[in-house]
Amino acid sequence: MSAGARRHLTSVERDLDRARIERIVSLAGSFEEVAHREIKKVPALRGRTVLNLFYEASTRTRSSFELAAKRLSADVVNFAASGSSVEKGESLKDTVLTLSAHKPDVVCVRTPWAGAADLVAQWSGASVVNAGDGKHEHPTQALLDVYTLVRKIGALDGASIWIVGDVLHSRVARSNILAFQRMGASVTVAGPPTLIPRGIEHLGCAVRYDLDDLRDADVVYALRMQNERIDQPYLPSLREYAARFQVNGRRLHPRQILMHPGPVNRGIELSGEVVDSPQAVITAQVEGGVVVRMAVLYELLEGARAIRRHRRRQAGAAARMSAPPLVHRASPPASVLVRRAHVLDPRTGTDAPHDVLVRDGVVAEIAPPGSLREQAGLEKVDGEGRHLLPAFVDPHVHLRTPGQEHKEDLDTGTRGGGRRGFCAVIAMPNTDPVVDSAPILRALRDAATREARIPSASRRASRSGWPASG
Amino acid sequence: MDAEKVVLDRDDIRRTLVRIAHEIVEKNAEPERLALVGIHRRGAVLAQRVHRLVEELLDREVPLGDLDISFYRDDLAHRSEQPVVHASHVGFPLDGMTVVLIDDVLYTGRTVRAAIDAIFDYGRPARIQLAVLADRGHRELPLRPDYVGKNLPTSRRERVSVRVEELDGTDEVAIVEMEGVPA
Repeated sequence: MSAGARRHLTSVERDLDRARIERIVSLAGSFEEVAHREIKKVPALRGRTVLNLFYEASTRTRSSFELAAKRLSADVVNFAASGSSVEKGESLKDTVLTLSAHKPDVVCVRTPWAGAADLVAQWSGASVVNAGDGKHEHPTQALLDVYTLVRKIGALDGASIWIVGDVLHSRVARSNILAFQRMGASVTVAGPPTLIPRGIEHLGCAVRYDLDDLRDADVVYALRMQNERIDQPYLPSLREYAARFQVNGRRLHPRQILMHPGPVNRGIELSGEVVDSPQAVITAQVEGGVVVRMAVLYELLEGARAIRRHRRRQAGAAARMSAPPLVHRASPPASVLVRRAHVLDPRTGTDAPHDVLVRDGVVAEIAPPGSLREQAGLEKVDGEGRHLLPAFVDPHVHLRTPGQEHKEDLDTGTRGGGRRGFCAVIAMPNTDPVVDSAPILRALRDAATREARIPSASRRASRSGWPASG
Repeated sequence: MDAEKVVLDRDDIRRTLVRIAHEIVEKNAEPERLALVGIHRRGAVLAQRVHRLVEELLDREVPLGDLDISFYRDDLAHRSEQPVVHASHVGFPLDGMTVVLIDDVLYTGRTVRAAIDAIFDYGRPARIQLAVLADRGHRELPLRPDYVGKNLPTSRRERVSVRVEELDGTDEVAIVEMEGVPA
C-alpha cells in the first residue's frame, strides 16, 4: 500500500454511506463461496499484515477477525492487553507505536474507551478498523447484521426494526441504528427509560418505553442485558426487566426475525424458546462475521482511486460541517451604562475607575468616572466598588447535556458561567450519548440556541480532520 | 472518439465457438473426465455456449463452472478502480479432471495465472487447458493457449473489446484504438 493512501472503518456515522455498505455486503457474498471450498483461502492479501489489538475480552469478534485475515492469506499478529507490557503500564499510544514497527497494513482495535480507534488511526500508519470502542461504535457488527438481514429478507428499504434492551451501554445499538437507517429501514429503540439514552431520537429513530407495539416490527433485535449493570441504579432487578422487556414466545410473532449480537443471556433478554426457534438468525450472524470481516479488510486495501474518491467525499462532508462554532440563545443586544466601575484591561494597561458605555452589545466608550451622560434606552448599572474586566473563555466545561442533566445542563452551566465572567464556553463530549456524530452535535447546537445563556460550543469525540467544535 | 474496427461478427463468433468445441472434444479422449470453467464475466458467457455445443457433440452431461479471479490478482495495489466481484461457482469435484478454462481475450496471461491458482484451491485436476476467443499477444508470462478462436496482432495502444449478446446486447469482437495512451 502506498504511503498516505489510507482508509479507515472506525464508525458507521462517518465511514459508511449506503454505497459502501452495499459494496461490503456484496463482497461478503462473494467470500461466502470461498468458505465452502475445500481450500478456504484466497491470496488476495498475501504479504500484508493485520494486527489485532484487543484491550477487551472478545471471543467471536477477535476470532472472526483473525480467521478473516488468514483466509485472505494475510499475516496476523494478535495482541491482547493481558499478558503484555500493558500490565507493566504501557499506554495505548506507546503500544501502538511499538507494534507499528511490524508495519501492519490494517489494525483492528477493540478497547473500552470511546474514540480510541480514531486515536490509533492518528498514531499508526495503518488502516484502522474499529472492533468496538467503549460505548461508542462497533461498525463491523452493524455490517454483519445488515449482511445477515439482506440475505434473509432482501432489501431493508421500508423494514421496521426494533432494537430492544440496554441501548444506553450498547455500541452495537448505536452502530446498528445508523447502518439500518442508511439501508432504508426505520428503527425503533425500546427499553426501560433508565437504559435509553436521552436524545437518542436525534439519530432519527423512534423511542418506546414498552413492548406493547412490538408486533409492528419486521425484525426484533435484542441487546445483551449486562449483568454488571444490576449493581448500578439502572434496574430494580433482572426479574423485573425480564417481565417487562424479555422477548419471548408470547411477544414475538412467528413472521418476525429475531437477532442478537451475542452472547445471549437465556431467560433474561430472550427466552430459551425464541433463541432456538427458526426465526432466530443468531447463528447466521456469527457465521456472517468472518465473510463480512474478509470483505472489510479486502475493501480497505483496494485500489488507490477509490481512496481518493473517498477522500473527496470526506473533504466535502467536512466543508458542510463548517458552521459558526459558538451558538447561544437569541437575545436583544445589551445597551448599558456602567458608572464608576474599576476597569481592568491588561491590553491597554487600564487599572482605574471608569464609566463604560455599551451600545447594541458593543463597548462604545470608556471614559473618566462621571463624564458619560445618561441617555434614554440605556440600562444603568452602578459600578461603584466593583471590578469590570474582559470576559474569560473556558474551553473545558462540563455542561452534561445530553444525558446527565441531573448534574448540570446547558441552561444552568451557561448561566453559572455568565455570572462568573465567562463570555464563551466549550463543552466536553463526556455525555450520554457521547457527542460523536453529526446528528447529536446538531441536536446539541439546536438546544444551545434555545437554552445557552452565553455562546457555547460542543467538542466532539472524534479524530482530527474534522472541526473539533461546531 | 476512439477509432474502432469490428474483426469478428455474430456469425464469425458462432463458427469459431463451434470449431473450438470440436477441438476440445477431439483432443480429450476421456469425455467423462472433461469439465469446462469460464472466467468472469465474458469468459463465463462464452463457456456456457461452448458447454452447450460440447454436450451436444458428446451427447452426455459435462460439468460447467465459472470463476471470479479478483481475489487472486497480483495487482491489488495498482488497480485504479474497485472491481465488481462476482461469486465463483465450481460445484463439482475437480480431482483427476481435465479442466478447460475459457476466457474471451488472452493478453498478458496474468488473468489465466490467477485462474489457475484459483482452480487449485478447489481441488487437483489432472490437467488444465486454455481456450480463448481472441489471442492478442503481449504475453508477460510463459503461457500458451490450447484453443484459439482468432489471433489478433495488436499494439498495446489498442484494446480488444469482446461483446456478447447476454451482457452487451450484441455479438462482436472489435479492436478499439485508445486515444492518449502511450504505445
